[in-house]
Amino acid sequence: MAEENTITLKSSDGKEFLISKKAATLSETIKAMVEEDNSSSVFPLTVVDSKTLADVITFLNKHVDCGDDDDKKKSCDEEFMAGKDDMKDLFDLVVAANYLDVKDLLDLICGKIADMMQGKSPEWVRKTFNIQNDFSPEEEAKVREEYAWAHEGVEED
Amino acid sequence: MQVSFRSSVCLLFILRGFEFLPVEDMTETYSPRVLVLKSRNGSLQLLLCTLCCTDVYFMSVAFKALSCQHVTVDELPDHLNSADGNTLLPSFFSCRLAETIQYIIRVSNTQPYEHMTWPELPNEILALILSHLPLRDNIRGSSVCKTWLAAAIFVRVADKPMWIMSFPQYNDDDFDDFYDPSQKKICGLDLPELHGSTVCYARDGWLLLSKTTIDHVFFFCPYTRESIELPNHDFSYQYVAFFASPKSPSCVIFTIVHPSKGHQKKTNSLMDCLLLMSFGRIYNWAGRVRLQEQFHLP
Repeated sequence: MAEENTITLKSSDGKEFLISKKAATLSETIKAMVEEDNSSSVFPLTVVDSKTLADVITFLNKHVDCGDDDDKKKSCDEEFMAGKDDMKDLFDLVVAANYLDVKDLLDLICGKIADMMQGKSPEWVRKTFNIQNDFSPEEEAKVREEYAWAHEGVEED
Repeated sequence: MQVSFRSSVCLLFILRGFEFLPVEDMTETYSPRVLVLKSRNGSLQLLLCTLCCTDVYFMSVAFKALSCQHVTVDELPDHLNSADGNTLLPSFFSCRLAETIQYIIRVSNTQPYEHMTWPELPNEILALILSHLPLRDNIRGSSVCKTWLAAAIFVRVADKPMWIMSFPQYNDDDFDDFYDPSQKKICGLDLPELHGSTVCYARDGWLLLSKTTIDHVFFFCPYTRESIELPNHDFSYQYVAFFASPKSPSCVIFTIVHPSKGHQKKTNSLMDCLLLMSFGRIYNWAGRVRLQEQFHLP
């Protein structure tokens, strides 16, 4: 029997995770689900897979443990992000953080992705993010010309 | 009805008694999208809101909307009511919501979430990522593709704090400093155009400078290094200001000349000391334009 202070989150691939209510409700989305439906103890998250959900839960638990200690939070966040370099994992995490509405996690991952992009050329970004360049050559030249100074001194790919 | 994704109004809706028909936004990236909700009794409801496209897939559980407005559609043509994969024509909606939306609304045909990759990253998240970048990288990011350009400009305008510019105190040859409060970083730039000049006024990224050695007043934009010369004329002033970018036709330069004792004999009020020029007119300018009668200073 689940305790009153815990709930179960079910990932899109059917795995169940037990988490304290306090940690789970750091997610605004889950908070609203819990408020809406007090009687349930299992909440299906149909769009978050188990690997990503496990990461999110680790993050939420760490943040509950840190309480209001910002320095501690910062070192926890660094520890959490260490080794998270896979673009697919980052994508899943950022989409999950957005969906679950966990502001701290969303900011953390967006900051990490932004850090990766700093000093890089648009070509590097396209390659890394697998984005098609849909500018015509003239359009691209125009965009680049406008602030030519910003395109000086990019890192080698 | 442009709503910033950082809008403070963040609402969470749990939909009960509605079937959700997904929608694809074909036009404006940051305009509100239209959600079509079909209630169990068959009536359709439109929900205008800003939300990112992934939220569409989450709709069965909950969705997040930043701003929304319900429009109930009472009398619906039959072909729309039997929404079974038909395309709902934009013309139908535009007749009611013409001022805010022009959408093509499609039923079904959405991409499953698991197959989404970076190119389909919701604009809301893309904008958030770009908002973490310093200006230089924001500008670089804008040449990645059209979606990124729109997002980069969106956060550049909406969310970037202003840079603070400071000048070398002692030596003109030193760099001018630009301080970015969001990054707490200082970036030095050598702007020879600024050597020997004094800043009279700053606005919209433009500086109004005067060279102290010669009677010479000009606009300068430190970001593009563009200069715009003022036409040569008697520009004596104590205070000078301008109200818009000099590239804007509504740019007006305003100067105040304190009456010296000698002048005071000639002038009875401050009115005569105001010189107002429309910058748009200066290029075709034949003489000093005085618009004094528009002012009624106490």
